[in-house]
Amino acid sequence: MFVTKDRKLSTGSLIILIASTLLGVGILTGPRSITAAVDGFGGWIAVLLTGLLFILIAYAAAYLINMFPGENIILFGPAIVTKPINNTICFLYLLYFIISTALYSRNVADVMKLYVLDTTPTTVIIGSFLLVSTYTAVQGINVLIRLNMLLFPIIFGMLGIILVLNAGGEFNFTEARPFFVGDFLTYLNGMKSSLDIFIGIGIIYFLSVFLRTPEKTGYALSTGIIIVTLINMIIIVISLGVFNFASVQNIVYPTVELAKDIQLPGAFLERTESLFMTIWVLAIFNVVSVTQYTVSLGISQLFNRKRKLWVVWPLPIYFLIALAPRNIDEFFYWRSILSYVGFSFLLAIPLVYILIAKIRKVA
Amino acid sequence: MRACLYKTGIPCLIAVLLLSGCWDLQEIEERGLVIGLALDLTDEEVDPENMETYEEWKKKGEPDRVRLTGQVAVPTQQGGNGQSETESQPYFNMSTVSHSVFDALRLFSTRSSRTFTLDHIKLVAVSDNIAASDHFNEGLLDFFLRDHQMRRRMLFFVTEGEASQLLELEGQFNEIPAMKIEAVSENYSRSNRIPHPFAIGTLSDEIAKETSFIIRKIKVTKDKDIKVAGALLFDGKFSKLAGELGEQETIAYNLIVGEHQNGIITAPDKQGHIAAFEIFSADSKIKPTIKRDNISFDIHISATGHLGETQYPGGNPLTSKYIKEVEEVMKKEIETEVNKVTEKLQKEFKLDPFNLLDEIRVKNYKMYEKVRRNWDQGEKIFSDVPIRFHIDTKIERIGISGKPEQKEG
Repeated sequence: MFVTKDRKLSTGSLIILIASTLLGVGILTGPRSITAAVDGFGGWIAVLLTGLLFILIAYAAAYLINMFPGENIILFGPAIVTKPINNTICFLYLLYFIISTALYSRNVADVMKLYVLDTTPTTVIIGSFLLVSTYTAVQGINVLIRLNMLLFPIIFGMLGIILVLNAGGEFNFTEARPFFVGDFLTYLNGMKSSLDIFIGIGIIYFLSVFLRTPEKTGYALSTGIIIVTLINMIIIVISLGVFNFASVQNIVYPTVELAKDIQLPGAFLERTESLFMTIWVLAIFNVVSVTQYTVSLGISQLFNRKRKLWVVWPLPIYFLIALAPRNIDEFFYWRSILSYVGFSFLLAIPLVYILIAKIRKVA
Repeated sequence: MRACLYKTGIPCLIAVLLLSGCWDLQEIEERGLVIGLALDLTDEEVDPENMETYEEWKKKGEPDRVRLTGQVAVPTQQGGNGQSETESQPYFNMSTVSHSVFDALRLFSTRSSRTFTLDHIKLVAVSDNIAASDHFNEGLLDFFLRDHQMRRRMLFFVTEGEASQLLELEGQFNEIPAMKIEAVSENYSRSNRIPHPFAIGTLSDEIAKETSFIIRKIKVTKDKDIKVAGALLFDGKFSKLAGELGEQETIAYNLIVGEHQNGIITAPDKQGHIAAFEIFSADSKIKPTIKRDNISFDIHISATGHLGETQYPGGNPLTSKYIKEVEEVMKKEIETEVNKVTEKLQKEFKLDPFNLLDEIRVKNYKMYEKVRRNWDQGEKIFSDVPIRFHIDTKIERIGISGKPEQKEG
């Protein structure tokens, strides 16, 4: 059985890990999909509400994790819902992680090909990206945390620069208003589209073995979620003001266009989007390597195999899934389906497990 | 030794193989930097070989084709280090005809040794007959908004007549025409007779939003120079050319929407002498009033500036009384101009380029949802909305001549 003695994830590093895992995901398409979902304004409220919802979920997950400090779902699950059921759930959840990770790498390839690497084949971009992230994931949790802490300020800073320069430049306050519009139904619609920003926090069910201070998990998760919520809210409002409510819905990657729009006097900084793309790839790289690691950890625990090898073996699966969507429309369809699947896991696991644990008086 | 070779040498070789190749490599000398594009409708034949496809297109009811003229900067010749014997232009133009803009652009490659890069396009111009045709709305501009190399900041112009003339200017300084136009259009802060620069990104925003908008008008004069003045009015619903505003009307428009930067307003004073008021800073505040179903607007315009010229015979009575008088005259002048253009837009064109609808949206979203489809389209609520102007003018300086009335001491 898999047991770890050293608990390496401190509260601070968990915050960074969660924030940088969530940051890269919805950032490019969020303004478009969420604005389209709420049909204009109030997208930021939808994101805020989703953030609050996920803070609740995070606390539920933390409660479950706290019942069994130092273990993760694969270790404490069998005590609650018998081993076969638990292993099936975990396996399906890991499968979900594999598919979503593969789609992130596809996203990288699509965006890079569109904006920067015009003639490089998609397969090469996906392949090299996955090779690098696999290399990192093999190294283990310590390296991942180190890397996340290293890259997070860069990603955060770049986003900050883009937002500040846009807010000071093209941003038109009238276009961004009114702020409070819409009823609960429209917000609900917007929340559906903003789910995929946050569903990455599911990794905590597996990574909880490493927590140094399990009692602070809820706090750490919600801090990470708050950071990401704020950034996404600001991006939505700024892209509304720079474009307008109708135009944002027509731009596939509004955030990249925000980066492209920056022009400092004297042509001092041109082609900012290549800089932005590079840094965004770093953000997705964080996401992909962390989830790859989580998958390998889960598989090694489930089947009692060597973890390092199981980072590498699923590589062809990632690669093939990444190439599966025929076009960008299909890709977005897959992503939206996956966001519901991920959300169901995220919501169901703490509810069901805590309930059954209470009834059966485990722990 | 051998182990060392295996451990470092082989990975190095692999790295060399992997890292050296770059799919997207392009030498700068082989690039052609496209800096301006002009789009015209044309009936020219494509190519004799392509005649069949043209006939097929004609059968589909698609007889019009586009002519794309591109201006390409030549980087190596621009530096001009001692190569004085080749006094050639730092740019060349090429023009192709096709059904789609993208295809026309790619046809450039069939006529030049260079690979064309679109990253540095400064301006896109279309002829007024494209702007007035349905093609404008149907998406002749789609390519400029879809291609990833295009920047949203490229300036967009609608020219009177052929757009390609714009790239064939002969300026005073042997400038590249596209660069020159960009520089001229930056002068808008010195003249109130042209609207603010209009980028292609703004165009896509306006088309998406279905609001009416205004684009500056650009004209190529007979001696192959340009004049930028006045504005073209576009219908929001169909996003096509609906009319134009004269220079005076553009001044008024600029004042109303608060885009007025710097400019001169000339009017006779009470004795009939010409006075010129230079506006340094103008500001406008649009306040919608919504009572039940009645919408009205109060627009407060404040203009501050200095008295630049008074053609007053025999000395300048620049007293504070006279300054007040001129302020009053200028206020009247602005008021009439502003009312005139509003009247014209409300009654004649029935289009709202002021984006007053935005103000309603900010103030009362429910009302906005009610009127948005019938604002300057459909029932045209806009044309009957009362718009009141409140104008405030202030002359802060009078220049260096003239004697103030108040005796010192």
